[in-house]
Amino acid sequence: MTALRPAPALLEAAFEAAREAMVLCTADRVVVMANEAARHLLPSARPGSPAPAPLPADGADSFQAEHEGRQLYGMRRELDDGHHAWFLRDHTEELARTTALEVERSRTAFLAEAGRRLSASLHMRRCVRTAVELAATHLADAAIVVLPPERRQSAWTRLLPGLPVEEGTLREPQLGEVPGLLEALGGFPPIPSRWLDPSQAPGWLVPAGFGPVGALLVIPLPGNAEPAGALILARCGPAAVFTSEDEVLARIFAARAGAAVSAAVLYREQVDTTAILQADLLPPELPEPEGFELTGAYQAAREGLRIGGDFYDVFGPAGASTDTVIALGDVCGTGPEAAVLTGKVRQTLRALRLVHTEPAAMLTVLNEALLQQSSRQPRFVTMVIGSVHRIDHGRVQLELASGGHPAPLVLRHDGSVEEVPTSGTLIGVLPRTVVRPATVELAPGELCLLYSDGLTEARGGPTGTEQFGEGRLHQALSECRGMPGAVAVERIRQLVSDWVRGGDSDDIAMLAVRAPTRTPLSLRGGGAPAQSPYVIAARRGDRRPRNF
Amino acid sequence: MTAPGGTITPAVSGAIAGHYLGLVADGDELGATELVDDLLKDGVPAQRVIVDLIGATQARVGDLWAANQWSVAREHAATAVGERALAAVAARTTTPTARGRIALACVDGEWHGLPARMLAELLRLDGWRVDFLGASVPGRHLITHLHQTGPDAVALSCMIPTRLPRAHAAITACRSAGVPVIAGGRGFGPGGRWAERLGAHAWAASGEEAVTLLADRWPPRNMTDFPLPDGEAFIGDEEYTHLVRSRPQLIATAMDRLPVAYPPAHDYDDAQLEATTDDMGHIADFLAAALYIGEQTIFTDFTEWTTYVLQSRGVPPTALRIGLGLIRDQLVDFPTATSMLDAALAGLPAR
Repeated sequence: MTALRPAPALLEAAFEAAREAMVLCTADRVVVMANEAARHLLPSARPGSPAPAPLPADGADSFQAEHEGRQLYGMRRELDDGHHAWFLRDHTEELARTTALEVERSRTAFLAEAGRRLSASLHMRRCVRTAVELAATHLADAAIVVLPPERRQSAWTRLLPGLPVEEGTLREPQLGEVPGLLEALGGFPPIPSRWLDPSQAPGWLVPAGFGPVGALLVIPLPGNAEPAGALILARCGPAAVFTSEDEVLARIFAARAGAAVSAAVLYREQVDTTAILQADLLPPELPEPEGFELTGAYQAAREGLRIGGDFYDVFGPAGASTDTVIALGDVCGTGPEAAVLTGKVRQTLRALRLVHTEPAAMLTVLNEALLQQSSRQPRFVTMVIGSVHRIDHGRVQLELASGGHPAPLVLRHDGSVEEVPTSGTLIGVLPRTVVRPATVELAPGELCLLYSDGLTEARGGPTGTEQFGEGRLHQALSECRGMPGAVAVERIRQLVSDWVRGGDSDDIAMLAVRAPTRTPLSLRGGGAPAQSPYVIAARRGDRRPRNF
Repeated sequence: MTAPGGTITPAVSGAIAGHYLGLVADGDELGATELVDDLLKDGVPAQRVIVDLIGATQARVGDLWAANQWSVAREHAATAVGERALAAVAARTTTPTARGRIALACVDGEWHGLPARMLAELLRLDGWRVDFLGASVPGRHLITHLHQTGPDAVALSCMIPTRLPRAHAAITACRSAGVPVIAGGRGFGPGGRWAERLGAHAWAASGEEAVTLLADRWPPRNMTDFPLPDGEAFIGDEEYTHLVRSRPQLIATAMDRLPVAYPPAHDYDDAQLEATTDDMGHIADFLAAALYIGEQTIFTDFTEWTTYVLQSRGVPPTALRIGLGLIRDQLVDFPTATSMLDAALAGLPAR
């Protein structure tokens, strides 16, 4: 088998050709042999010379070191009593790749966090605060967002790590003091950091404790076809720089922050517009007329806007009439379309009230008015109109007229509940309406409730599909005997809410008129309360609390 | 609030509180608001009037109702007087806004608005700009409000544990909108122990504690767990889901079987039947909440409290025992629900 034993020259050639760098040394660290790969890494490893650095002299069996700009890793193996070998690896590229990967990973994590947090809120101020928080944590020593000027003032938000977020406004001329800021707010492409002279930054840009600004970066926040603002990043210290990688990352971040801020701007514009439109459609603040209590409650259908097809309104004494006119109705359908018709009906009533005071007459004229307006879809209203005034002995008289609406209920002082005998046809459908008005009188403590059918038709209960129904409403109202109007209405709202148990319900409107009792309400069995120094002529005449 | 000369700050005495309870019992708004006015004029701090007079009395009112000494009508009228008295405090005091903005709401389905309203006033007195959204605020309205106003905190009140699943939905949505939540009210359990489980950043036992906490420890440090720690966005299990979905069937079957299990039910009139149906619904709802949170205590507290309320109205514990049994019989395939019902049954007093 001798033919298979390789010649020393052959072994030497194989050693020389190996891709792994190998250095053969004697026990006293003299190089015996180094192959080509080893000589490439350690040119001074020549036979006969002492083992060069970074091969360790202390007998360690491995090392990791930087040598002439390369990352070297070596392992020592004992070959025989007098010799050992070093096997060397060049980790330079691998390390560079790992570092690049880590940088990339932390950027991805940062951008993912930025996306998630920036998309959380549609509120402008919160979005801007989130943007400076993210930027000050990941991109720079100080982050400032400046919004485009509005009425010659620009709002700014600033954050330095360890300090609370600061907010303020700048006058428009001051914007020009920050290098690159006018360009960023003017929609020009971002200017590289190296062209911005940090020494030109005005003193107000960062607090005094920050020290001189070493590097400055000003980036536009892209928005709805115009910048949503500008992001200013500053690093402190004379050696500070923004590398081109830093700038790229900051621009990507700015794009996301800009998108979030401009979405918030759009949302705010929409909210402002809607609020103006809604203001006339939402239930009115009720007056506190002399001689009777008025309580209203309105609950919009769960889905959609907080406005819908049910409404109530109250018109105080006007012109020659001293009566208060109340109205509660239900426009067919829900949502904005119904709300718009609701607004028309309420406006018409407001005007009508100045010429007519009889509820039945008001319904008839309203019917004509609605028939005359052209509409793509037939729209009708059911409603109750009432004219309320005080009569003698604390009693209250209501004249009520219904146009196809559920009859109002009256709660008597003995707890019985009556339906007011008024009826009539729908409003806005037929050229001729038939309205039968009715008059009711309320003694002190008695209450008249106008309501929309959303109340009785609310589905829920033990089966989840049963209607609340008139029976339950009568029962619930009967249990409100002795309660102030506001308490009674709140209690019925609560009972219906418990009934539907969070399920969908239609709009619900309620309006209660109550003849007040003289205080105290004798709900309590016992005698009069002990007089205290704090009760100072508590029961003077008709005085009622009116400030709230 | 100390008067010149270093006299002691006036406080709300027991006699005044007793007199106020009398006014509240009579539904005497005018008397109650004038009493509040006079206390404020005498230099009693508004916080003391809110906490020691209005708040303490409201707790008494709840006890009086539970003990069947007061009717529902009187309890509601008394609560209304409390609200008027609170409004009087609000109208008589002004505080400059020195802190952030806070949105305050009762969980959807939660109608006990007075505790939250008291907190609103306490926070306002402490310099917060407060948006009180009212009782029973649907989650969507709350979130819309957050996007529109961007507050620094949401305070969420829940007095009854059956609202906890909806409280959880609201808290999760608030967190997603990046707004930290402070929970309040006994609905979150003894020591607020379920508040954290549902994702709230903090819990306060009382209005005053909430004020201190918001002044000293806000925003919370754990804000960065955004929007929620992994795996906490969904809780509850299939037993909870089954119970909620089959609620109508569960109650209907229980009512069908009631006359056999409890012969007096043969003679129930409509009102009694309706009330019993409601009670079955309460059993199902509290059991569902207990399953959702995974807490026996929620259910046991409910059965103990119900036993007390029924006893003070002359109803024997047998009725509740039979009700629980009728529900249990329909849930044999659900081990957690069954064991919760068994534990509650074991805790009921003997007839």
